[in-house]
Amino acid sequence: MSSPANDSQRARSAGQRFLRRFLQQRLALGCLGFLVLLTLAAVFAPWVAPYDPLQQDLDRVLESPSRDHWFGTDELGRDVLSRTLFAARVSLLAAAQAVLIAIAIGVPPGLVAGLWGGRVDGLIMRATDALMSFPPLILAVALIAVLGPSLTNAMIAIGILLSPTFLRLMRATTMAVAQETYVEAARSIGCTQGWIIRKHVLPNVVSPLFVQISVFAGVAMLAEAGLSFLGLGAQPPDSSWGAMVGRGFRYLSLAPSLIVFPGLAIAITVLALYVVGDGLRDSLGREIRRES
Amino acid sequence: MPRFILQRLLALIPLLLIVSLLVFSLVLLIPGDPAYLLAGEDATPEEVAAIRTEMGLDEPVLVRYGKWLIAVVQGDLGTSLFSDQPVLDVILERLPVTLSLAVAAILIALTISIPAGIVSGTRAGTRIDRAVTVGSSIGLALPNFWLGLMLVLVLAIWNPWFPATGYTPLSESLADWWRHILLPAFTLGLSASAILTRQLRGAMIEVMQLDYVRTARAKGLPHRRVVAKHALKNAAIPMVTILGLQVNGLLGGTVIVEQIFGMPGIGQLAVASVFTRDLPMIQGVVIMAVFVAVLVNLVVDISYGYFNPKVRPR
Repeated sequence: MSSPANDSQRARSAGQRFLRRFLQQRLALGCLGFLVLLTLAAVFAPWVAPYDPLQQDLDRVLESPSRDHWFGTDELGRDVLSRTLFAARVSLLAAAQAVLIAIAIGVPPGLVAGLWGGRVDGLIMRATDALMSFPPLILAVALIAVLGPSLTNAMIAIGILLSPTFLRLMRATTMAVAQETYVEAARSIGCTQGWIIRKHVLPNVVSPLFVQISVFAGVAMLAEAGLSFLGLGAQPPDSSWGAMVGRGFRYLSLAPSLIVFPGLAIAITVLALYVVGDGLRDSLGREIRRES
Repeated sequence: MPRFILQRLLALIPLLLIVSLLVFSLVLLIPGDPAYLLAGEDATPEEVAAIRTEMGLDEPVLVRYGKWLIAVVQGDLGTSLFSDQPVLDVILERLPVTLSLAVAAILIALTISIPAGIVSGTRAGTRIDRAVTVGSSIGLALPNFWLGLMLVLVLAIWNPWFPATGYTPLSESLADWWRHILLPAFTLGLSASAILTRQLRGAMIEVMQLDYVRTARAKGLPHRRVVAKHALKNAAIPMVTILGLQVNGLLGGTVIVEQIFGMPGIGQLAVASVFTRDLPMIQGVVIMAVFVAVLVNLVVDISYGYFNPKVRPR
């Protein structure tokens, strides 16, 4: 039934086809480029930043953007551009941390629920529903209240909040794979559960998980920014973009640039993460549709 | 229908039990001895002991959970460690602020998303559709606290058209309430409006391709009537579900929005209680927030069953 063109496409690996489709999406590619540049700028901040982010200049406080200070200066005369670059380290790392925590908490029970089904599945899903019935930020605030305000604790709270989504995704894909004929065949010839998970289930559930990571990094970054804004996340001397906006709040009418630039940094980065996530999903979506 | 409602109510019992267990477990998560933490740094051993007895910390965990649950079910959420007032009283006093903020945010979200969703869904692929899609992506990516601060800066400080902070109860003055709530409600509702717009756009595109819409068009009905009377009715059903899902996010968002606009709601209470380490108050806020969210979702579920008989059990 398949045409020659289709056959030649099929000859390439699924990964190559995925990559080729992703490379065709210019907007997503552009956003990925931006994120790579941003990460590099954050990693090499000591060399890229024009000033030391902690160096005070009390003669030049709360200045508007100028030739010397592109993003202006803060209440202690520190360069806002340099501080924004250094804060990128904290914001990016925090988002990655939260997503990793969410995966670590969400994936194993999702796998178990999808494979075993029955009562275990019912129990896990009930707990998940309960967790999802909490208004997210209020639960995060409550968790931070008991654990104590710190960036790590905020990221643990956000990781817990994001975990149900990974759990549900994992469960759904695992269930679909577990019902495939080849899994039944593997089981009937006596393959062990561990072997089936390694050889059949995991390779198939990794891609849908992978495409979600970018979007959830965006969600995590927004949540971290919100908590740090409230003073419940990054603590001084560490500063994330959200914490910068929180500190700038006090000087809103005197020096708006204090909150404008870190806020824009959050918005643009989150937007880029979402667009890349959409691009990844679209590249994979067609893959799945064609194969099934 | 009554059987459907009863079924939904019964399904809530295990959910609320697990929720209560999670909220109770918050105390167990405190590193070290919670009594020391709650008593404060310079408390005497006697004060610590008093708190331990008051909170029943010397009893087995399960007994404590049982006693706590029975009290909560009877409406006793404990006493604030900070102000010594009953937690429930403090929360009930502040709840109307949060609820009116959330309701206003939903109204604003609907006011934005319904026209935007219809316009872009019926003109898919055009310039205006692309503008709406890009706009909704930006709406999702903007941090709400930043949007709120920008609104305060432009519409309250540079142009003093709206008050920057404060709250007037609806019962005192409708006009004042509206002036105070408009900026916070917009701040809170924007991301929800982006999600609702996307949902409605997708549903409209789908519905507009269905046979019955084609029939309505073929018999010569004007475009406006086809959209409003025929397409929108079906496209709006999934919106109800999405709206229900948004309620949790909106209630969570009040934590930030109330802080920016200085509104005395339960979100602000939650943040303040973190800094005063008022654990019973936090537990109370969480329970109340979940209760409201669950209640709203129950109403959504039931109304969904009412509008869409297919999901009702036989």
